[in-house]
Amino acid sequence: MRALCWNGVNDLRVETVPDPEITSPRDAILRVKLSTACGSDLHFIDGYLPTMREGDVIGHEFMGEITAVGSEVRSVAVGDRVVVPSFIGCGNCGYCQQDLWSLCDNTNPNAELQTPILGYPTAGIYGYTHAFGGYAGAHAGYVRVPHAEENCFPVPDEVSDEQALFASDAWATGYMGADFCDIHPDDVVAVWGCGGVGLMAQQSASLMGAERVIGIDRFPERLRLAREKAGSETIDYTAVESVVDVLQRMTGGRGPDACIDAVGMEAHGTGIGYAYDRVKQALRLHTDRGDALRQAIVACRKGGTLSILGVYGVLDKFPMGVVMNKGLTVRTAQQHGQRYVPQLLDHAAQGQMDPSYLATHRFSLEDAPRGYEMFKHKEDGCVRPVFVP
Amino acid sequence: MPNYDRSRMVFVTADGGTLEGATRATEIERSITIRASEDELYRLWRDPQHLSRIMDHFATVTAVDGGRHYWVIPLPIGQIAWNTRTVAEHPSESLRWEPLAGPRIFDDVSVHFRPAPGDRGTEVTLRIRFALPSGIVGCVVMGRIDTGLGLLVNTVLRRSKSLVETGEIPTLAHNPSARGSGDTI
Repeated sequence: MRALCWNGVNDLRVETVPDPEITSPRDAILRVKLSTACGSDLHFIDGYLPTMREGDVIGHEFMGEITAVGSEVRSVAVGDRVVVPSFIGCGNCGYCQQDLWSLCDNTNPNAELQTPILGYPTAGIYGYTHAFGGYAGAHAGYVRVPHAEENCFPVPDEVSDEQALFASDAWATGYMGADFCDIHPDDVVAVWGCGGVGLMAQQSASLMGAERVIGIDRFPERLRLAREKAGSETIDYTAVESVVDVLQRMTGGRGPDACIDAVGMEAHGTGIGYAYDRVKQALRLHTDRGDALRQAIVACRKGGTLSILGVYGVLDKFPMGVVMNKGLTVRTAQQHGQRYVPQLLDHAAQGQMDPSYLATHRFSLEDAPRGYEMFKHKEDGCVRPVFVP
Repeated sequence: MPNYDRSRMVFVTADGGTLEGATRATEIERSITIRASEDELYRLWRDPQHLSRIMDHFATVTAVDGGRHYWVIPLPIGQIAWNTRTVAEHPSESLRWEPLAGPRIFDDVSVHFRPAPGDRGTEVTLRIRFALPSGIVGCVVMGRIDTGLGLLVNTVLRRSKSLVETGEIPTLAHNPSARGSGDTI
């Protein structure tokens, strides 16, 4: 089959690789119908995350049709149109049982690569470094889904392929970030980042009843989507002296009740903090640029919630004293997709939320490297490129 | 003489004697919590097939007779193989595999089970005492490879946990990549 492979920093190529096989009676094989790029892919494409290997098949956000199942798979069957969350759950460990699926104890074959840094391993994920499992990704003709009964979610007829695609990760992640905020009807929620995850977090916060949602970014077309599709107010951080000051003015001096970071380790900024991060990251003295996260910590009201969806390495200069003295509640996780996907498919079926506008560009799999280029450089208003194998 | 004493990874002298001339051994102890009862785990760990599956990355274990097991560890050239006697002094609580005469890599292997709080299952502690070179050289070598042995013991426990909780050990066998098929590190 053809697949998009990582061959080194900023070197993606579509190559011919072996087809996946059923390796366990609980596996399914999917024919991928749609897959999409995620901002977190850029971290290893740009060389900031270790344990990629030349020839790795990438991509973790996808949906498709089941073409084969192992002998113990009962609840889904060949021919089902399904969406699959990016993190793989086993369904049986203590974490999966508590709906904390991205913390699954049993799906990372390379657990010992993670434990020296994290202490304990996370779940495995498709196409996202060997420390996170090393499973082949989904920018490919076919993909193997372990523990199919726990990870394949049939898509109702009234939900389109594109709607289901984003339930795989961007929508589930954004929705989880809003859920972390325990939103009350009069809350103001600020979201750093108006990419796929940030837009989904904003729209989800509105759906959950936030009084006002404020989106922060620098790209006019993304800010426009935040206003038009998510109903947010927006701040172009390159056009203001201080995002924190603007947020204080917008909230009567209180600050947002909850702040969501949907940016992560390659944040852009304008001030001295950004310059510091940029130099240190370029010199490989640390992995992260944390300007957006630090802004969110300072901007958040006292006793508020900080919901972190951005992906980080081992960030230094994390202002713990600010978090502590302001009594912030920090909530964060890689997405627990299996907890949210049924709800999201229901929202789509009921017409309550539609993520399909994220799919600004469509490419054949053969043109996926070009899609990633456009996505990385935000060319032509690209929010998410969708690949069709 | 380097003093090698870290919590959970300690040098011990096999015979309790002085360092000079003594057989040095390193004992590695690791724990994991598995969602299963002590009885079920005790039964599984007595089964050489379970042992072989969870040690598949470096050893095979087969039953001989009368509670004796035959351990084989392939080396780059040849292999080391030895017999052990299973000692079950405390049914459902612990098992020990005591080496019989001859060359070996493990001086002693034991596994201990105790209930975890709430409904978390059972805390499983695996102790492996490795028979390794003695003296200063052995000490220096061990200082370098202790992490590797710790990972090896951890991996055995993780594989047992996954097998018990999900019926399988996560694998990258036949994992597609531009390097070919099969992707274990």
